[in-house]
Amino acid sequence: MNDRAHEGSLGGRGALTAILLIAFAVSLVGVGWEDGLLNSGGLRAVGQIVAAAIQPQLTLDVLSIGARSTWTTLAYAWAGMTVALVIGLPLGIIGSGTLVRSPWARRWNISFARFALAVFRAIHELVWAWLFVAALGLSPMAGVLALGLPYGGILGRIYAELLQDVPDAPLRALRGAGASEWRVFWFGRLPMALPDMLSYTFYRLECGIRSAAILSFVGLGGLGHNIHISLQDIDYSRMWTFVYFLIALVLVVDLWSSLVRRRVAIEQG
Amino acid sequence: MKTTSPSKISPATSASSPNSSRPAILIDGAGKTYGDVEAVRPISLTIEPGETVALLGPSGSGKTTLLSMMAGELEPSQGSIHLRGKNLADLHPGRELSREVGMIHQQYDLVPNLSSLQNVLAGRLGDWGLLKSVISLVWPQDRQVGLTALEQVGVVDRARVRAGFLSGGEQQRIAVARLLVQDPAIIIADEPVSSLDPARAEEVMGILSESARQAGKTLVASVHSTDVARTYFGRLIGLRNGGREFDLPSHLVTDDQLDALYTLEGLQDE
Ligand SMILES: Nc1ncnc2c1ncn2[C@@H]1O[C@H](COP(=O)(O)OP(=O)(O)O)[C@@H](O)[C@H]1O
Ligand SMILES: [Mg+2]
Repeated sequence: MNDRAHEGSLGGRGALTAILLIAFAVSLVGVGWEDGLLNSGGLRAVGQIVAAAIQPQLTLDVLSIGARSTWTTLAYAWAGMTVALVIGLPLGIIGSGTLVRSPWARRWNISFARFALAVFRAIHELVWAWLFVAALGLSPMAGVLALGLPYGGILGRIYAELLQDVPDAPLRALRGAGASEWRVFWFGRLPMALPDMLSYTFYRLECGIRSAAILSFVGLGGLGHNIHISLQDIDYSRMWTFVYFLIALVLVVDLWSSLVRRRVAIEQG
Repeated sequence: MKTTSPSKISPATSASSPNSSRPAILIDGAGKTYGDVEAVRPISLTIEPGETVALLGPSGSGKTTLLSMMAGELEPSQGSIHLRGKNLADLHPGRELSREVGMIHQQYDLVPNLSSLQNVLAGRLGDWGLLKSVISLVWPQDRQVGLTALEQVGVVDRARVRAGFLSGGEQQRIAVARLLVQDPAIIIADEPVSSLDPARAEEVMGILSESARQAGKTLVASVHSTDVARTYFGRLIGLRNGGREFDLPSHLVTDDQLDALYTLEGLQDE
């Protein structure tokens, strides 16, 4: 199916590029630049923000608020990822269609799970947040669910693909040794897909931290909430303190993920 | 002459052990066609329990096709195949079939990120319950069975190393060990050593045929090297263009016959 793309590529790609460029140009005109995207005070504010970056507020008071809200944001992200795993792992496994042998059952598994995953994924976490806040009020549960549902949809879809794309020869050998599809899954498919699945899950945890910060702008507490308040108070030094906490949090998660991945890569299971 | 494997005695094996009148493999007019290509022309042959048989023939002569049919991985277009008296077509794929026959392929087919030991123990997946299989991922069950098999093929020191990190020769030994743990009555091997250097190939082939002999198993393998075939196998079958050219005890096969098998391209009429 890639053949066609290769054959017709030059003409097709040229046209596509042209269309995208035109669309971009139109969008530039469409944006209301004159409505003060950069207002008169804008440049001065930018200068102040940049200057504040090198002198974040480091009083004990601000640091302890920073530490506590870092914890809150991490907790949201973590709880959200847990919900996402509960949704994404089973639906991803079903959606890979690898547990059943008959083509008919496989097609149904894939269609059902992919449809459910698409529904979760189609709605952005901010929209979910809006829905859940409307339903549950400003509660942590609203934030966790708002994060967990779309992330579950994304995780499940990627898991399904990673589980499908595993090399076939080892699986055939396991079937030859008498293994049922479930055993083939546990002993062949999952171990082969696991490093990539872990890696992607960690990447999503990072995204989850950023999203949790954004959700806290909405009023759910955490780092985003404090950044928001500092901006309202025009206290850029304090804002930077919280931004640095956020950066540090993402870096720590990144470090942790590379440690775990190295373990999975080298150690036998 | 016939001893059971030390690792495991399956009911199917022990039930039919005394009954050596039934051939291990009985092929009755089985053949395979792809469109108008006759990959294997209808062939009938009998292989007795404990025999070691090498298939020889140039590339495209039908060795892989014939072996895959014997292993139940490929359905014949015509004719039938019986393994120890049971029609292959009636054997349930999975546990039932895996008791009768196991196949080693030319390409390495281990699970690269599991340890050698776990790969070897995968030969037991047909017997293990699902729970035991899952537990075994973290905490290998029946370790001793696996270690014994690894020792037999000479790589017990690699038990904890992940299979993907092993050399080609080591990987093929692991595949042999996995088959020993699976413990089928019949072992089929399709050019199991063709991707190894000659010294390594000879070693692995020696291990394979010796293990089969010790456990009283029937071994049918396609082999590249005529020397290896004569050294390690009791019976040689020459294939050409999907048809049988000779079928003899290995000491009766002449050099002329072997030369003719490989070199007389196009000169031979049928
Ligand atoms: N799946 C297939 N579809 C079409 N032709 C095939 C297929 N498998 C094998 N053949 C043909 O059957 C013949 C025998 O192939 P094979 O059994 O692989 O020979 P060998 O293993 O001796 O090299 C060859 O001519 C090959 O091209
Ligand atoms: Mg072949």
